[in-house]
Amino acid sequence: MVIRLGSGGGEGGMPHGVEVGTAQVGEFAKGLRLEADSGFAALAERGADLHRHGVVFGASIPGGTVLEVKNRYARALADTEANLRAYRRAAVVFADVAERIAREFASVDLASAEAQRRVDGLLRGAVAQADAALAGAAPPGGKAF
Amino acid sequence: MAGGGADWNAYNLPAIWSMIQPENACAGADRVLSWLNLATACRDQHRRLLAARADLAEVWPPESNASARVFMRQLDLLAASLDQTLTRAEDTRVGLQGVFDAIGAAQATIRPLAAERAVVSDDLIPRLLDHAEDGYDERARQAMREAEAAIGEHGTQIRAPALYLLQSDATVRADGLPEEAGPGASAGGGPAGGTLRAVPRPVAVPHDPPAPSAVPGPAPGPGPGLAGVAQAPPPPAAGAGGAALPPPVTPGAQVSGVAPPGLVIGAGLGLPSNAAAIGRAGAPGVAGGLGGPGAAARGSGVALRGASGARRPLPSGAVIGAAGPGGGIGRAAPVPALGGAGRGAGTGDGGGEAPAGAVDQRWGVPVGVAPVIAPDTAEPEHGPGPGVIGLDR
Repeated sequence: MVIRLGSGGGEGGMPHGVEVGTAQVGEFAKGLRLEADSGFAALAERGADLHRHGVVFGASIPGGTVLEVKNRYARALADTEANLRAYRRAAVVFADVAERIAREFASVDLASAEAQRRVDGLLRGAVAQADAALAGAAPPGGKAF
Repeated sequence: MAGGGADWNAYNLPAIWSMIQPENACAGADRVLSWLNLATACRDQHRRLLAARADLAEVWPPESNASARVFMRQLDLLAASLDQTLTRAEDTRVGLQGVFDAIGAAQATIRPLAAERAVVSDDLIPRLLDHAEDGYDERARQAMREAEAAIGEHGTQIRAPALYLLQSDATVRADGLPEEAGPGASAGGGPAGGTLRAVPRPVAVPHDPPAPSAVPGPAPGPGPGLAGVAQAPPPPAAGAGGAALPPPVTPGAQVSGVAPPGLVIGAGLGLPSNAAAIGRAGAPGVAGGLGGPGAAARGSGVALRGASGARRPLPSGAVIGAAGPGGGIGRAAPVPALGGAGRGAGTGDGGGEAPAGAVDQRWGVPVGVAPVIAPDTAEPEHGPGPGVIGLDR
């Protein structure tokens, strides 16, 4: 899987010599990972709980009007739950990338074009890892995260 | 909202009540509360995500770092999707609340109507005379029409969020949200165009309304007994006493609808076992469907197979179920009618040969038999009858 993140390096307006606190990036990574395991995880659980209950009205009511409302609700349940699961995975991905940035870019000028390319590569790699990790447990029809 | 409304004229009040009585307002309130809590939690998470992003931007400013812009753009997409999800969750909560309010209002309207209708349904005046139930039915239908309209209106507030995905910049919309999943999206919501997206798990939509033709009316009980009219006794159980009902299905019995070879359906009951019309080869021919005494029509049966086991088509001119008078002991006919002499059972020669007679042969019918019942020759009298008490004519 190939994901293009950003348009690549070499933007004309890039300043030079900007000092970046990689330690703070590391703090951001820790905070985001904590959120992935707590806040986003709780959100995913709330979504799963709603999803488990399913469509809870109008099972015996005839007519296309009620059926359409039930279909809308079913889709709202499914898509919301899927998003909440995905947010948690995305938070993990971003936390991984931020951690690696903090670790590998401690002595590198993050404003440089080379740093941008490396960040792009980290993001692609993190997403690919998430993709590979979930490929085995993906539901029918495609991979998910 | 699109979608046709139900034909409520096809349902009476008991049917309508059976539809909405199971609706659980408590469960509905729980789900509404769950959506509210979900939206609140999403909002808190969204706020924390934006705060973290702001903190990161201070130490890794995207204004001066192209690499930071790459990272921040993805964070912004996540935040935008989260914001849309919480907004849609709030909308869905409002819509779901409206749906349950509409259902609850219908229940509150119809519940007393159902109780009142049950009273008038059980009175001594039949419906065809007073039409007392019709008014209740129509009021219930009107309540459901209103509920259905309200459900359709509130249902438009129920909206699914766009599926979150990490994607290339080329497909990011101007508002930063991912494109809505259109008909060209992958069916399962999986990777499409080099992106990863959230994959929804399908939710079953229960939809099992009662068929209009199966409208449940008042309980079909025996009803009040009429003076002087004896209730019909229940049908006797099959046994050796002459009952002509088919035997009950027992475990292990053949239930596929195909009788064992040689068996005459409907025969064997009410007769001694040795007289059952089993078309064995060499057995004395026993004609007809062989109902026992009092077996009436049930005695007639269908001879499926004789000893040869070969099934034959019904010959032209044969009469299904033709048997002897009353369906009892029939006569061996030249051409075996279904229900008449089974193959191998007519002549009893055991050879399983085809009986004599030609196709399209017409049977002789006895004529000139004296009728059993003759009309009454007495002159009837059509008087006005006795007068009402106290008012003699």
